[in-house]
Amino acid sequence: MALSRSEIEAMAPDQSALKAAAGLLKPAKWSSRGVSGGLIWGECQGSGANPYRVAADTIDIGSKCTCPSRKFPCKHAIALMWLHVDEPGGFAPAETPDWVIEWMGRRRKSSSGAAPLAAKPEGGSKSLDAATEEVVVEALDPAVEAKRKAAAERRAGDVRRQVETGLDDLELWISDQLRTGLGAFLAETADRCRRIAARLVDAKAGALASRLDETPSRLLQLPTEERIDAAIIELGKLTLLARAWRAEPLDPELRREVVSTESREELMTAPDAPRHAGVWEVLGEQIATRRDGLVSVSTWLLNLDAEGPRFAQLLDYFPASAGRRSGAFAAGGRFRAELVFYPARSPLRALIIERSEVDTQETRDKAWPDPATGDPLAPYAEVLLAAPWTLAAPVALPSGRIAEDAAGRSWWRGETGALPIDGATSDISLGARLDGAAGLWNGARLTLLAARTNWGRVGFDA
Amino acid sequence: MLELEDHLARIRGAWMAGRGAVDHAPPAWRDAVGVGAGAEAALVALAGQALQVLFPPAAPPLTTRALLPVLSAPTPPETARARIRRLLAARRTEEGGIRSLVQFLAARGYVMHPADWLPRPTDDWAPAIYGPWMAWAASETARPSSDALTAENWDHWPWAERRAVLLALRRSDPAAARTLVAAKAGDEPAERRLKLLELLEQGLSPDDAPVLEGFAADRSDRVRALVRRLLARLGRGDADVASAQELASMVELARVGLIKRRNQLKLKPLKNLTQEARRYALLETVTLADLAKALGVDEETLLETIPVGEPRVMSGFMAMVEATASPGAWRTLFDLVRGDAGVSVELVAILVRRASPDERRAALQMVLAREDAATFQGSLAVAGDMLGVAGIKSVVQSPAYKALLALLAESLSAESRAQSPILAVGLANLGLLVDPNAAKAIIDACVASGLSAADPQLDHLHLNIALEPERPT
Repeated sequence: MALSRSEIEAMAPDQSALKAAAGLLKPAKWSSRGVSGGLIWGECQGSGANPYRVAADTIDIGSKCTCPSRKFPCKHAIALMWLHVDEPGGFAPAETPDWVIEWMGRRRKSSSGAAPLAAKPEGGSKSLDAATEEVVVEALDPAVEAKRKAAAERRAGDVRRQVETGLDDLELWISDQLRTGLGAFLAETADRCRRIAARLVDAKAGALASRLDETPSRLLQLPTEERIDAAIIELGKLTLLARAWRAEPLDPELRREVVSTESREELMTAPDAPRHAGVWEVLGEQIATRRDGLVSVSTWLLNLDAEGPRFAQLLDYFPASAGRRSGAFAAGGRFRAELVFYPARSPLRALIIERSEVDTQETRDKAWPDPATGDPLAPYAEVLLAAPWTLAAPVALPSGRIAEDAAGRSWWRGETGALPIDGATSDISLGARLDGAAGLWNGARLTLLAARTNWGRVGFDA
Repeated sequence: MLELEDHLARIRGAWMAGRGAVDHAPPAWRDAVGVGAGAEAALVALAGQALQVLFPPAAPPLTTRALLPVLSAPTPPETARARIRRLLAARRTEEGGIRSLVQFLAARGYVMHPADWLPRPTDDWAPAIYGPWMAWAASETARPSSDALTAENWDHWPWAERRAVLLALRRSDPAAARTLVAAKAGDEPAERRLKLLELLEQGLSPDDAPVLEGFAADRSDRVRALVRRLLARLGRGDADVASAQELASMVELARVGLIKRRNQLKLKPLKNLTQEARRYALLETVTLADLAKALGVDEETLLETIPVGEPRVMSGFMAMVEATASPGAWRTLFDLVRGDAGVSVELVAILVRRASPDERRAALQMVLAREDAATFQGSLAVAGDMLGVAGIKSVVQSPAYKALLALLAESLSAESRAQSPILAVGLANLGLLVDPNAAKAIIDACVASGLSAADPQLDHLHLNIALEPERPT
């Protein structure tokens, strides 16, 4: 069955999905649109930090998208198929990427679009033409706008006051933990942290509450003998964060750490958000399920140019109930892109503004930048100096080896010292010479992301 | 004056016990945190930063493994590795799944990239080229010297490499290998004794009998069973007359043929499952020579025609012949089953284990052409490690290939809702069996039938094309 406009109308879950898809028809929204046989695919920059990977089978109709939407097909899949029907020339013939092949392998015909298509009523009230009609937006009344702005400022002031009260309670809570003994705190850390996290939620300090929710698992995954120091470090960071916020409640980084993250739209229009265009390598992906039911997906990028921030983190959240999401990037993949960084003392978290030149000869030929000579943890200390509440920061490590202690635990060992590695390492990493490595250091453990070795690139992400 | 580390230890101790710690802080810190409410919280901020920045975890004594050695064959091209990783992930869940993929790469002259797959020390099935990696995985400190393997330098060789060298020696100088096995096998643990004695199967001759007889009373059951099988092939060893007579009572030697009368062994169904189970057990322990003697004939007379019986009991009998028959008797039956298109490929696969590489290659082309199972599982068993060489001609002749294409058409039909596991296995096994030209022809046929060229069921065939035979330069 070949794809047509009427079939897209029929398979769309509702008119609003078509309307939303119409907004994604600009070619600039897409990168790497390709076609092979009856398969089409592309990457669409949505509201998340990572682009969404979208693929569709135009013969045995079906689609797949990495976005968290519960609609099926989602607006990205509809837009991809719509673009293909209207402008097939915009899809470059190419070898089918591995992620599309993997989708083909997992795909079950019973869940393809073909069966639901037959069961659904014809397009009916759903129309591609109607979806592309311009909506006339009435000009806003200046008086209404001023009133709205004043109300927003009032609300922001209320939030600040509530957060401040919540942070007073947090400092009191920290003093209580010290006063009643850290041994007792560690014995009851889950309950105690959950109680103060609930209080912070009430005080509109949602981001800080999430951090406290995760604190027990961070502490308890360490060996017993390291937990006291880890608790002191964590309580110290919370104190510093609370005091920094009180000093600068309008600071965007502190607001992000304590209250919530600004939206993509706010970031794109923020005058102080640094931008950097360059060639990036995907170091790896970290996926973690949080206590609040969200799954965080961090994609770590290494800047292969000499200038600009060395690392970038693309961070997205999905509800755990939405199931496992496919990664947006393959580890080791390289691309040229402009990133906008969330304003911070040490900018790290970012969004992709525009991506181009995926895996060309030029991007492939670029070597990893040399790590700074001397102490590989010096950049980490600088991050802590600027933002002492930071939990972990990426580090570039010079040449070294993975060594083992008597208990079989793995350590990265270089000329300047050794760092304990979180979890087990692969056999190859034990037998490889590391010409350079990148990982996350949290003051106690190193989480390796990737390394350049005498066996080529080795990834460490799960 | 106390060092900072001592101050931190006292602060830590105070907080552990729930006491105030400001008094234990260094003077400069005391000035910074002040007194009263909030002083302890300020101190925890300072102490936390100091602990994190100034006192990273101290490393205990560490050991570094030797660098993983580079093997003599190249790793696959980068462009093929994503597909290999996908196949490894899919095959890991299957019994012996990775094995045929590893052997396929070896047959094409490649080794796996160690980031994708490394053999474990127990993966004795891995091709000999992986010996240095198996030694590395076993953390064996011994290093092969440049000298030939001798009884004197035996222990200087890592196990996997020692075994590989010994196998090569057995092929080039059987007597020298036999002498080494005789001298050293007794000092090895049972599992290794077994592997060393198995090497004698290669080019087994009457000269090996004294060495084998030296292990006839070995304390390991598996070693004793192996020795018994090998001695039986040489017409030696103690007969188990009682078991042979019991088995003879469960079979029938009849005369068949109108003009040329010949013997035929009939393995008819027995009365009940208990008797059947007993016959299977006897087929595993009785030698062909003993059975023939119990029936009053010699081995070759027993095999004048292909025996008849239910598939399972036939498999048991073929395994007995493969394990214990004299070279002449094995040859007689192997020639018979090769020439009879009615014999199932699975039975050929059992007997072919003793065939030479040339015989195996010829047998593969023959069984491929008459393969009737769309999984091509029997052909894969016949191929052994001779993978990636079969031409398209035999494949397209086979009933299995036609059945496979019919399954494909059915799976692509509008009514079909499920993928056929037989189709997936058949395409995968063909991908391991055929040469690159045949792989391309099969992909073309599948795409012409409507299967997407990107369908992962074609992964093995695509990999086959991507891994052109690597010729050493």
